Amino acid sequence: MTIDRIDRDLCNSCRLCVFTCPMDVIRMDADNVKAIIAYPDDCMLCGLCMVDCEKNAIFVGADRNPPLITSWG
Amino acid sequence: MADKNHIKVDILVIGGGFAGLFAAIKAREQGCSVTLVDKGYAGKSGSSPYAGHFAVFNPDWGHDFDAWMDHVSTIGEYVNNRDWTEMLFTESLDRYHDLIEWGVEFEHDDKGELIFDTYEGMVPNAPLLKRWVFGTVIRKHAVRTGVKFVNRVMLTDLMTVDGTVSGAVGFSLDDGEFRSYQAKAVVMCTGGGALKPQGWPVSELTADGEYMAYRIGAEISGKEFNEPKSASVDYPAYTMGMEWTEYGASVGPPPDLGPPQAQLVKCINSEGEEITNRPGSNFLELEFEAHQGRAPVYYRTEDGGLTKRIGGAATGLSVHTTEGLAPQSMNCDSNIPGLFAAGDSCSTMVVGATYPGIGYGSASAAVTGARAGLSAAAFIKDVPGTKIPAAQLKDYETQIFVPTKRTGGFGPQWLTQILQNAMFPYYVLFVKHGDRLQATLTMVEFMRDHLAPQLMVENPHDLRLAHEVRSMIYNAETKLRTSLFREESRGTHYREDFPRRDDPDWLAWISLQRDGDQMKLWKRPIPEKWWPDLSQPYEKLYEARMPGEVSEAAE
Ligand SMILES: Cc1cc2nc3c(=O)[nH]c(=O)nc-3n(C[C@H](O)[C@H](O)[C@H](O)COP(=O)(O)OP(=O)(O)OC[C@H]3O[C@@H](n4cnc5c(N)ncnc54)[C@H](O)[C@@H]3O)c2cc1C
Ligand code: SF4
Ligand code: SF4
Repeated sequence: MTIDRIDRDLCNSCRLCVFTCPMDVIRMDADNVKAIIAYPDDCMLCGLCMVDCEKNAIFVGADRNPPLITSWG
Repeated sequence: MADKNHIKVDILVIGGGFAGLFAAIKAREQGCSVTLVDKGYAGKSGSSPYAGHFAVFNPDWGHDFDAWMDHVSTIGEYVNNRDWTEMLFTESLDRYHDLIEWGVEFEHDDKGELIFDTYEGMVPNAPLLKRWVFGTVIRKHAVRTGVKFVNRVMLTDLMTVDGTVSGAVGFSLDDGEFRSYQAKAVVMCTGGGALKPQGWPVSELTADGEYMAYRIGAEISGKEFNEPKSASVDYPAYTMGMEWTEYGASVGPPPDLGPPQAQLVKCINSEGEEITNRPGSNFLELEFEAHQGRAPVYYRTEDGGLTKRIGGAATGLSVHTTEGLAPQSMNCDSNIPGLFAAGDSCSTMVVGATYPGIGYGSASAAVTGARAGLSAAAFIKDVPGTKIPAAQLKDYETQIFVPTKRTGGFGPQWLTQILQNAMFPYYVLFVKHGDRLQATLTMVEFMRDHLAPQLMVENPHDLRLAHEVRSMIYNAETKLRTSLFREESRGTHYREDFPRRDDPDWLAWISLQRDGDQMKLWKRPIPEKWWPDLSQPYEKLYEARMPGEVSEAAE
């Protein structure tokens, strides 16, 4: 797992987490209203988004499964 | 092209950690126009948010200058640059006062006394920063002074006209469009070069700045050393436990997963033996134990619990302040006119082959950042500013977007994994051997020549990953080549096939530079006045023992 989830109901659309995430994991949704986890594979579990979100809408776990290695991709 | 995506400015600062913010503020205070571009968000990205201590040398706090100098040289195994170490000590107090003036807070105890931290056997020196928040505080001050910020733009290339740096180009992560910043001087503050390790939160630090500079002929140094950090086996990516709980987060993992860097606790090997660590915060003992088949290795936490550890949590990073653009003088100038560097992307060698204590990374970034900012401001006084021809700009743009035009090839995620697979095992960068370094180099060269040119992406996020993996391949190559070149062991550089320090032959730094298609390496000897007293016994000069090292007495 990476960043677990962002609670849509709690999110107040402030966009702070989009700027905070150093890995560009979080973006705003298609309607530009709520934060979504756009690129979970690149989450490095730094926790900065969670620390910054004033609404406590972001949940980050402790586990990170390394992706499978394939012959090419 | 005078719109907001194509800017002309006196000084461009790339990267907004401690170094970039200091550089930008100091240059702006000299009256220059300054733009700071970060691929994340200045004040929140890079290593800087995690720094908990800021080393300050202050005689009023009872600090002894000679003792400090000797301490760094001994732990750094005599390859620190003593001019820069001295500079750090002389200027750290001023930078500390700057931070206080700008509103940065340090921790105080109940009685209102400043809290200092230290390691066992170390010189107590480092006031505790109020973690996480200071970046935003410094950024606010920078805004007040008139520094302009650009967020979420990744820069990929330095522009040059007649051999002088005249800005940089890149693209926006949001709209995916080309961006250009023409400047009379550029200050590179892009931090260290890691390989997206599973441990430390440094996955955005992919040596981009160094790679840009290397391609235009900059001298680079300090690449053979390591930051040998460790992580929990069960939660290898989770290094921030203490901070999270400190912030009272009600979610996330329990607080008992171990301290983030766990440097104050004891190591125990699988046979239950305590492993004595040498002084300094970085040591290779975990790797040595693993190599002998005595893993898992545990840390005993302060409350007596045991956590299983693995090494390589910061794989790719050199010791802070010891990698990147080689400064040509105390002004943080590179060998390319108009290009300056500071912080973790400037190889001042403040601390040498092993990190000696705490707080040196952030303080050094502040000291070099300020110097680089002032130097760049002085430099541009005599520079009229050149206009980049439109055709040249178009060429940069075409190059940047090549992966978006391909219809077949490889994904950057896959190439990153392949590179990590080659570089992560402890026996490549931590327990080194000439044969293994050479074998890995062969594979990395193949990635560089065959795979990287065929990268293919569909969106700006992946375009960033594509440029990052190219920088990481470059970083891997520099680490392998310099490790092969240094035929001895020293500090965090350990060669099984050359397990002893070799004095005075290797009282030297390794520099590298692009030479056509080749990477040229050479030795820069350390001034004799900085050598230790070589008539002393080897064991006395070097407290840390390396496996396989035959002692002089036994010879
Ligand atoms: C977990 C951790 C704990 C630490 N603890 C301490 C401590 O307690 N005390 C201490 O002194 N030091 C500590 N350090 C080291 C210290 O944080 C660093 O030495 C220091 O912060 C380096 O600052 P910097 O400004 O040089 O680089 P960074 O803070 O790393 O900033 C580099 C910036 O460059 C940007 N960037 C990179 N590439 C590009 C690109 N292509 N285009 C645009 N922008 C780019 C990044 O987004 C980032 O914002 C710690 C480091 C870590 C990782
Ligand atoms: S920081 Fe929190 S409230 Fe703001 S956009 Fe992100 S999830 Fe929503
Ligand atoms: S934990 Fe860090 S990397 Fe992951 S989404 Fe949050 S800010 Fe981004």
